[in-house]
Amino acid sequence: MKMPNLDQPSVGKFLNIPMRELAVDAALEHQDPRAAVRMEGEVVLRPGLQGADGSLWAGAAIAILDNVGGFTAGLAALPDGWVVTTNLRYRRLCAVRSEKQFSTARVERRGANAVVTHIEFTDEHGACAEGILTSAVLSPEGGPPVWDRPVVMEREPLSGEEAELSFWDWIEATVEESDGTHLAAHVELEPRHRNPWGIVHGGVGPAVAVGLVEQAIAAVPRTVVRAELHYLAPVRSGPLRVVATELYEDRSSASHLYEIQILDGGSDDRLCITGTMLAVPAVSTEREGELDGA
Amino acid sequence: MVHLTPNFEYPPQQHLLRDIAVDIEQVSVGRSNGWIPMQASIRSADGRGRIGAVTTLIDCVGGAVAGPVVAPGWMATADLSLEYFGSWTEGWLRAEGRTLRAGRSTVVIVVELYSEINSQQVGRGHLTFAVLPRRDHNPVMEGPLPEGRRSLGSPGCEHSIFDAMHLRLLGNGVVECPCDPYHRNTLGAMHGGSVAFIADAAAEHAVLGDDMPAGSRSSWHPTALSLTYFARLLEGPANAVAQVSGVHGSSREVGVALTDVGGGRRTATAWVRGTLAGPPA
Repeated sequence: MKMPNLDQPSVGKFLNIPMRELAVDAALEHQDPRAAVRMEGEVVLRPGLQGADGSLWAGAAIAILDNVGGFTAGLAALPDGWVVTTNLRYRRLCAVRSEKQFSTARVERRGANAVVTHIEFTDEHGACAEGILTSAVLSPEGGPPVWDRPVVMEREPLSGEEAELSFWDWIEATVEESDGTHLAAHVELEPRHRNPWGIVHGGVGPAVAVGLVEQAIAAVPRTVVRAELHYLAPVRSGPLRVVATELYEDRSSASHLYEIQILDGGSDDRLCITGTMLAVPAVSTEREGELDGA
Repeated sequence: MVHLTPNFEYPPQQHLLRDIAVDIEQVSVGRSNGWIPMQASIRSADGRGRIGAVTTLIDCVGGAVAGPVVAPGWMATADLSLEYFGSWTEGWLRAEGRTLRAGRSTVVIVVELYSEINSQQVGRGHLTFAVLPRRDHNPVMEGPLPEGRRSLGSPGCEHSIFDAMHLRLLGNGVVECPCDPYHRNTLGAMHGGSVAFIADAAAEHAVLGDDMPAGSRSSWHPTALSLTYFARLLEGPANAVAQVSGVHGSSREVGVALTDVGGGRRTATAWVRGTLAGPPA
């Protein structure tokens, strides 16, 4: 397969993360040379990617995790195949204060059937969020994509209406239910929601789930600080349906744990992604030690 | 039809699964239940069952669900996550596991957790197993599913489970544990339950400091634990280094890196989340 066309409207184009492959000395890292892949993406915190507190919005962060981590895993899987996401884990560590941050992905494990990638978001003060992406290696129809190595993926700054949109608005989800404990939305799929293989980008459904959960109690702005997602099947037909059901409310911390289900409405509501998200009041979160003035 | 009775004695007489007294029931292919009883050895300072014990139970139930699904192949846990949102303080903890997806290379299982004394749901776990080709040393699985509830041990561990594991707190969130037969799984590697207890101990140690748990003024209340495996821990000892990496009010995010010291490689990473409560009034 040839290199995907980066100019087509897509989740990757909207996120607008220039990426470059970093040199890694496999011998120094005691790694399988095939696993010695590291990518750095530059995240410019434009308003469309910000959450209620001005930090990187969890919905965008999860999509970036899937983008940068998945691409890194894919490079590690070459030449045997390319990858699909099977598990995605995200947690926010602190609020972001910088306009620019970096997402750095490194391969933790490259097996015959799976690749595990760790992704860290950092600003000049240190780590702000992190994720772990597990991907399954497969042989796509037409073969895996071909990339010139080391990969340098430039991005032109977004312009026009797209540059003004939030990721939520860009996805164009329709909220159906929002009573605080049971939330539902759907997305009528467009080509821009899909990846080069025709399946929906792994960040679309989770971003809708984040939007639902954070807006569940409109009077209290909330932030998703943790997500555990298990990808069971690709969303192909659409509409993509997202259901979030409250599992638990911790009154002492005002946190809410939601069960997330992402379904393919055009495939008999097949369950495609399941997992949990934890939302807390949208107050500034601190790095370890900062609360104590350390 | 298959069953999960291996062609050798497992677990051995001295084993983590016997000490925490796991019971297993295989309901059908793709569905299993499990139980553990509350006992002093696994009770944490906040009165709840330790998150390491709860994780051990879901690991066992997940394995019991996945075994017949992948037969005649075998499997290894690739990813585990637990949300432990309720309060299990006495009686039995019941786990109900079922298959969410059974593919050629992975099997995904969900495990619901209930405190039997009040039927309240206290948590939910997900496990992803990598499907492995059958090897000669794997347990033989054949015949019908065993009927009823089978006990792998009986409660009565007199020591703290950490003492029984010979787990050592080395300071600053660093924990070390041998990888001897007490800890091994059917593949000869460290059991996922032992890995979970090590992550549990290291996280608590990192949050509370060196005086944990008896002398601590604060109480650590873990609510989530996730594990991503990179490799089997075969040689030992296991070394865990925990670091508090995020603070949200009273909540703490802890990262734990696990290494096989003898094997010279990282074997897993764990994330633990919980809340810190002040000293009793």
